Amino acid sequence: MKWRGVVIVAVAAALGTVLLDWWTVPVVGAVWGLLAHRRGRPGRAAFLGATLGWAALLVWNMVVGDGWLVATRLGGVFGVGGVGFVALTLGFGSVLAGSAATVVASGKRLLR
Amino acid sequence: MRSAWTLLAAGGLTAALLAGVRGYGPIPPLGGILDPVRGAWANGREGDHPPDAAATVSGLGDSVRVVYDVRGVPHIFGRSYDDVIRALGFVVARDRLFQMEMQTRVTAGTLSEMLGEGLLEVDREQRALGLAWSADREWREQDWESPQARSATAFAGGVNAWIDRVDRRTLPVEYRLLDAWPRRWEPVHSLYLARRMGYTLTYSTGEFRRARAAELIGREATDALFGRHSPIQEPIQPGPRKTYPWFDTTPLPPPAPPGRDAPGFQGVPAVRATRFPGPPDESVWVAGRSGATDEGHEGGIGSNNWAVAPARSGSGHALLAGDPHLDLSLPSIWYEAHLVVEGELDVYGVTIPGFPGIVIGFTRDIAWSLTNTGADVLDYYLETLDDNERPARYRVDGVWRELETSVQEYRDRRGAVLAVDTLYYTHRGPLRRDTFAPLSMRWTNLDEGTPATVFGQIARARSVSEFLEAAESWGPSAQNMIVADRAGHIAIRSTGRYPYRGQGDGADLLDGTVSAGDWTGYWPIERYPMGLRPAQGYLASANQEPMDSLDDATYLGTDWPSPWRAMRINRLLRDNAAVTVDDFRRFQTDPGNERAELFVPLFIDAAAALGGAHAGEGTDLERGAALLRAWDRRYTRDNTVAVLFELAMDELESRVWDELLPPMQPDMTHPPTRVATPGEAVLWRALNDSAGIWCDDRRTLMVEPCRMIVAQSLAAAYRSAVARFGEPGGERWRWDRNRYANIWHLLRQPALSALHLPVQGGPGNLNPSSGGGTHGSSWRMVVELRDDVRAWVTYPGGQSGNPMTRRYDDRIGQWGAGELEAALFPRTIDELAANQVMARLDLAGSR
Repeated sequence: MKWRGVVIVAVAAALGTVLLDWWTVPVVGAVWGLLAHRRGRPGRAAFLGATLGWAALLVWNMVVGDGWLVATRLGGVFGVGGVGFVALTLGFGSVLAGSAATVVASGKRLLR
Repeated sequence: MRSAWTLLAAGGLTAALLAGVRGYGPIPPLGGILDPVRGAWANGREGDHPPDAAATVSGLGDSVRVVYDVRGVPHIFGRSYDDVIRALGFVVARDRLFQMEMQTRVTAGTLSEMLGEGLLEVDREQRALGLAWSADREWREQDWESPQARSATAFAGGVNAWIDRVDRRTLPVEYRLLDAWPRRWEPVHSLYLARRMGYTLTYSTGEFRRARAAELIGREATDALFGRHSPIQEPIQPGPRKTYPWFDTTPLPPPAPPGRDAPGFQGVPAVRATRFPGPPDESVWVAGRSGATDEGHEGGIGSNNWAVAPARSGSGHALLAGDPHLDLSLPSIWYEAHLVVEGELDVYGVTIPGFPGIVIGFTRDIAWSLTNTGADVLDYYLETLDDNERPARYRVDGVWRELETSVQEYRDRRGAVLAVDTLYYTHRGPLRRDTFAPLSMRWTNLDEGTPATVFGQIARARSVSEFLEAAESWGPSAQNMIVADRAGHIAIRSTGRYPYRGQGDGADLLDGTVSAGDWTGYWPIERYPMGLRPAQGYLASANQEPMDSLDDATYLGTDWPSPWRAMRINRLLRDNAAVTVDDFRRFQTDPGNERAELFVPLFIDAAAALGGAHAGEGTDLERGAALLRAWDRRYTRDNTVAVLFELAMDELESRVWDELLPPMQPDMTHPPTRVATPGEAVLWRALNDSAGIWCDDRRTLMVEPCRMIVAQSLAAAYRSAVARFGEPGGERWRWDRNRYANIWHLLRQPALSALHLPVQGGPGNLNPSSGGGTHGSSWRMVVELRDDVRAWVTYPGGQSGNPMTRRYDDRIGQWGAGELEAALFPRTIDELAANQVMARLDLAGSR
């Protein structure tokens, strides 16, 4: 796995989320799957990249606002606790990017 | 292998996208929650207002400056009243938007449109009450240039200016959880809120309680047990006697044979009468309650206010305390604000989010607070319809009259129609058909009211006399309005519309087929119970009967709350001729309890007289009595005897009031519960009654005198306490292990609520704790009327309605500890030091 790919996806996912919306994350994953379909496992890089990108945004939330309060209270609402809510957030972004990259890369290979 | 992985990824992608966009069942779309930038995480970043902000609010005549102090209180400085109210709408919506919408939806009966069809029955019930119907009618018919209309319109303009600015970053988290968006605020919504408050304060079903009781014990006994006057008198209006309280110990009439009388609707089975909605059950004790529960049982809740003239104040200035007890919720029912229009208005206090004005507070000259009078301002009329299924007319004085109708549609979250009802109205008010018989309601809360006008005028009053004049037109819910001014005058007046009935009073159901029972007018203001500059130097109200019934027995209502809190505050004020601000603060959470002072000696005397004399009771009775003898009768958090006393009171009630248990029916799976429970002041009268007729527990073969019943109750309570809590004095006997405050979020989400908060105080305390802990002191205020008026305040919550910020609940610890904070009351913006300012907001009108 090339760490450069992870960093690229992380930056793209974070920027896309800041500038547009959360749905840019699967788009970033899909684009990465398209570009990197010849490499080994583009889904894994997208998964890790999205995790990294959103983790950076969560750190920003913790610094600028009371992110941990958000995590504990909403974690309580969803019944997963504060750590669980952070994991849910990161997992959501990661699954979107990773699965989109995997699906698109596989499709591209099939069409090749 | 690779294709399996691809399929798995495709499934994961589909599921994640669907979860992000649509959600599943009760789970909202996760994209709008989990997005670290625009999702709920944004509520944590946007929770605190930015240090400097500006906004455009259309309709402002001039710019308005708002400074939030370090307690999160907005100080709003404008050049006209309309501008300040418009700005108030903006800042309240900025902090409490979701709460505002929820409260108006409850009143309008449209909760199912936001929360789903599970709320349909709540919506039906609310619409049937006619709150929104009457508010809509009042709004349509009013003078559009009236102060009321202008305030509501200006306020709505401010709220909508904020709603226009709401985006996905600032959307309150509750909307995200419900996958909803704020709706526009209409001016009439402010009237809805006023109706809602009127409902909370004046809706009663005492007629049904009395009717059910009368079926079992007869009318004469019902009149005595659920009477028009309290058997213990500690009136609000200083009476002619030199000493209060006084106790009515005339013998109670005996119960009549069951089924002989049923005032208002003979022959209607009691069980069917219980279909009529009653107030929420407040008698279920958190630790479990041994006795039966029923509608109308005293929950030990209420409000307090009191004031002293300079002659009885340590500082030589008048002092005033206000302490309204209401449903506790997060966000809090109150929002603190300071409104200033140079040369016209300078008022500080609390508003109800959505209401255009300050409801309780103080100015540079006066301070005021409210308690509920509890007067009977709602009557029920038994109507005769031409067709009970599809009525078109009702009969009055032998003539059929047309019913007014209104077709109501109930919709779900997607806008689909869930149900359609036709509601009917007589000339008296809404017709209820969900009861045992068609009943129409005549209720002051549905009449025209001008709360915004009244509180706008009160905020401008410069003296006690100006306050009393400004409050004259207050009507929907009678309130004990206490006021003090800088000149040292104090006054209290039970202000509201008290109806004159053409025939009889409103204690029982009225006959709707004759117009003789209709309301014919209202009391003139001179008749209102009032105390002005009293010789005793202090005034106090705690929801007790306003007038000494020996002095003036005019009907005001029935079934008055036992005056334990009134007795306590009067004792504290009588015993201290130089009270201070700190005394007032301590009084608000005083652990002393007059109820315990009266009843504990009865238990101890009974134990002394009968201890060991009755098989099986001796040891338990003596141990219980020993604990009560050693008790200081205070409800402190660490007290370990109060739980025993509460259990003993429950046992006593269940034994004395066994006559109010309906007979067991073959189809009943549980023992029946009392149809109604008299107040504890009546219980005290029954125990001190020389005849002692009510003490006998008719479920036993022997005839028990009062002392035996009291002793049995204590012994049984002791056994019950040991069974529940272990040996006496243990941790589980502590008061704070058994009673707490529970402050629920409006959506009943435990994670957003403050639950199991230890509190000082129990039933009958100045700081009472109710059964479920969901009622209590909602705002505490102490004001010193010196040249520069000073005030100390708190409430159980925080200024922000956003659960993702500390300001959401930052005052709860202070409230629980009985502490107050000094309110900042600057004359100008510049008077606030830099370290007292949290944020600034400049509002400008649009060109």
